[in-house]
Order: sequence, then C-alpha cells, then structure tokens
Amino acid sequence: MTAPPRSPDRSTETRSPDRGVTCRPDPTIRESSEELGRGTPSKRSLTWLIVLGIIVGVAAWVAEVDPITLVSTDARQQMWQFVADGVPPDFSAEYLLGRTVRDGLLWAIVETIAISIAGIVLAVGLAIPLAVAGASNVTHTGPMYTGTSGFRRYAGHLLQRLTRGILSFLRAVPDLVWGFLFVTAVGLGPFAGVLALGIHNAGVLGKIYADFLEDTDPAPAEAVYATGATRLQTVFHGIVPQLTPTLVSYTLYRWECAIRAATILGFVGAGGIGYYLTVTITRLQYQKLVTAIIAVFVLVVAADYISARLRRNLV
Amino acid sequence: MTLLGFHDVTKSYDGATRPAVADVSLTVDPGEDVAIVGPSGAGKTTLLRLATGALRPDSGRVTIDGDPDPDRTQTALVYQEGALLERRSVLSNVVVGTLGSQSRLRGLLEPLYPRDPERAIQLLERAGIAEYADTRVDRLSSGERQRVACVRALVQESRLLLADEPTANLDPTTSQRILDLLSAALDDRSLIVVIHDIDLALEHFERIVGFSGGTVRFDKPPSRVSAADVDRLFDESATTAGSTRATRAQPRSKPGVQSDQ
Repeated sequence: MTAPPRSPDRSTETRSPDRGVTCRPDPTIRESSEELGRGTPSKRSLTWLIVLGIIVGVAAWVAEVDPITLVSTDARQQMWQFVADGVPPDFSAEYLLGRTVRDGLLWAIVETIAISIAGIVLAVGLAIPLAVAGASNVTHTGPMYTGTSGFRRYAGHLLQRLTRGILSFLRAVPDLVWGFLFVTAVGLGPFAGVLALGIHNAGVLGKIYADFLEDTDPAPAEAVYATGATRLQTVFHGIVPQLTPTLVSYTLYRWECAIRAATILGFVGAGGIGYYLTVTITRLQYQKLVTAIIAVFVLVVAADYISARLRRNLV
Repeated sequence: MTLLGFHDVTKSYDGATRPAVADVSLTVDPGEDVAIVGPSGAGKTTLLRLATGALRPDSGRVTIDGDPDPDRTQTALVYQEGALLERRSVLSNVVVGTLGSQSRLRGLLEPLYPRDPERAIQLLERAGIAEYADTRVDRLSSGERQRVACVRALVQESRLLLADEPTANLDPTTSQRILDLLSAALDDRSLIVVIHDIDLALEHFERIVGFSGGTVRFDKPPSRVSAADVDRLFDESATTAGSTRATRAQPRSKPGVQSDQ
C-alpha cells in the first residue's frame, strides 16, 4: 500500500506523525555507550594518538634512530666525498661492454631482466598447482562437495592446510636467502637467481591465487559441476575464468617486484647487476658504482612502466 | 516408469526457523512438462537443487530413474540469473554443457577449443543468438543471457531438464521464446520449470504444481486450476512466513487447503 499524501483529518494518518518522526535521539543508546566508557570521538582519537606515539618512540629507540649523526659535519663530508668520487659516472665502452660482452655492465642488465622473467615463469608454474591444492573451495567446501563423505572432506581439508603451510614457508624465507642456498647447490651464476626468485614468488603468488580462488562466486562453479564436469574441469572452467584478469595483473605486479629483487641477488653471487653493485662498493670504484645505480634506476622505472601499460590493456 | 521421484523429502538450511522443503513427495514421468508456481521464498529453487544433487535432503530420497545417487549428467538446470562465465564467449559457455560426456583430459580443453561445436551452434541458431557465438557473455542483454543459459542446459541432452525462473524480468515475447526453446527438447525427456508468471504457466504447461511454505499445495492440469487455488497459494505463504506485519495485525482463520495428491 502506498502512503497517501499527508492529510491530518484522515483517521489512518493520525498515527503517521508520531511514527514517522523518530529522529529524536534514543536515550537507551546514549546510556549504553556511556556505560561502556568509550568516551567522545575526539577523546578516543587522542588515546590512539598517544599509543601510536609510544610505539614510534620505542621503535626509534630500538633502531637507534639519531638524526643528529646524519647532519653532522662528518657525515656530510663523507657523503659529499662519495658524490665527488662518483662524478662523472663511468660510461666507458670497456666497462659497459667488457672485453667479451658477457662481462660488461650491459650484459648484467640483460641478465637481470632474464632472471626476473624466468623466475616469475617458474613461480607461476609452481604456484598454480599449489594454489589449487590450497583453496578450500577446491579441496573440501562449496558446491563440488555436497554429498561427499566426511572422510573425503577431511582429507581435502588436510591437504589444503598442508599446502598453505608450504606456501607460508616458501614466502617466509627471503629471496636473498634462497639465492644463497641455491648458489651453494648449483654454483655461482644466474640460474641460482632464477631458482631463488621462482621459489620465493611461488609462495607469494600461490597464496594470493588461492585467496582469489576462494573469493569467487560459487554459482557458476555449481552450474559447471552440475553438467557432470570433473572437479578439475570445474576449477578451470567454473572458477578460474572468473578472475583471469586479476591473476594476470597481480602476476605482472610480482614481476615488477622480481626485477627489483633480481638487482640485488648478485650480492650472494646469484647473477645479475647486483654483482657490479657489491664489487664496485668493496673496490671503492665509485664512478662505476654510480653507473650501476643509474642502470638499476632505469631498469626499475622501465619495468614499472611496461607492467602498468600491460595491466591497463587487461580486463 | 517414474523419471524424477521425491520421496518424503525434507531440507532445512542452517539457522532457518522452518524447513525450506518439508516432507515433499512428487513424481514426474518421462515426457511430462511441469510448471512449479508459488510465492518467493516458497522453496522452489531448493526443490530444483535437490533434483540436481547440488543439495542433499536431510531426510527422504530423491531418485532419478529409481536411482538415489544418479550421475550428474542426468539432470540439466537453467540457473536463475544464468550463473554464466561472464568473461567467456557465448560458445565456450555453451559447450560447458558437454563436459559430462567428454573424457577427463579432453574436457579440460573443451570450453576453449571445442572439438565439435556444430550441435551447440545449431541450438544457438534455434535460440536466435548464433550471431553472438563469439561475443563475451557480459556484453549481452538479460534476455540473450537467459537464452545462453538455456542452450547450455539443452546441449547437455540430459533426460531431465530443470529451469529456475528462466523468464524472470523478461518481456512477454522473449519469455514465450525461451519456453518454446525449452519445451522443443521434449520427447521422452521431462521439463520442470519454476515460474513466477501464473498466466504463462497455465498457457504453456500440462501440469501445474502449486508450491508454498515448503510443501505442495496443489498439483493438477491447468484446466482445473481455479483462481481460488492461486489466491490461496499466495495467501497461504503470508501466514506460513508469519513475519509480515499485515498478517500479525489482522489474524484470521484460514480454511485448510487440500492438496490434490
């Protein structure tokens, strides 16, 4: 029934005013909030501000933060010396191309890009099965498991928890540590870097993929499964197509991160431009170091740009 | 021989005060076409999902050809809102219906590289949407999407075809077209359609099941469905739900509604 226009003389409308006007503050609400001692909003934000201040203070103390040292004469002199020693950067052909190309700085840049690409491809290859086994709507819940025996679901749950544990471990170990580990296994060189990036990012991508899979609409999956499709077919044709652009976009973002990580893998001898960073620092070759830093900067900016362009073309 | 059998089936959802389907017994023979009518929240969708096996009854049995645990390929359901894969083409959505008849490995590729799309294309032509075969589903109108969902179910060639509100929010011409499309498949196959529009149901189906409050209120041919039957069907739901202010404000005794079974 739609309400007729206001007309106080009509009997049905007499209750309308006192029902309609309920804007008066409800006294019970105010009472209960005072009882809880929450205080006014400004009081609450002040409390939070004090708590935040204490946390920052303790963190600064533990981390030995001392701005005075940074602006001291000594520090300023040292930094100025570094800049003076680094200028002009070394752009000589001998440094950039080396004697055999493969030992020049440009090759190291190419190698860094190659490590990041190969590393991410390896990571995706490992992450897909791990994500499938780590998503609860694939292993034991949702439309594919109505009427499934309790034991089967329990086994699926166990598999899912176990996979999630593996993923956490892969991503908890930093890529630099993986790099160190693989250098001892396969020797110095870019292959160790590829393995390091691949394993670490398998953990990162696997977790994100699994979370995305769990967050999909169950209706299309139910519809596909109901046609008689197998569970694996349902995953790839009922669940995955719902989030293809998201997956690709996030993978490209991880590639950006991988190229940044690849620039320092050389610190542990796992190939790439990082080797030049660490060698020129220890040998005090600041002109060469500045060139390498410029190269890293260009590399990272270019990767960001390319990845952003690719992602914009998605969806 | 009964194709679909509900035997004293009850199903409740977690946290609900009353069962969505309460002690329902219903049989459908091969070649029959049945419309299930009733108010929103009557349990009609639950009934269909019980038939496909997507839901399991709390008690009672659901059988297909007497089999209490049938193969999933035996039933095809046209979902409300379609439940389509939005970013995929019409054709790859439709060939999903053939997955049950493919080998496990071949089926993994099928929606992307259909081996034999001819049958799917024919059905799309009959539905009048063949020109959109390569169009992404999310670019289509709701009537076109509904037809894609129907074709996906038809491609399955299952013995029991179910449809959940396939004509919701559609204009009369498109509704007509969709119902024609679904019933054209009939032969020894059965069709069960949940439908809101009573007039459309009376016009199109040879058997009308009135369903509300989780139970069958009447079950008869359209010629014998009276206006009173329909009124009672929708009235009954108001009292069973028991939550609307109108019902509480003016309680009145209801005459007992006889089921025709």
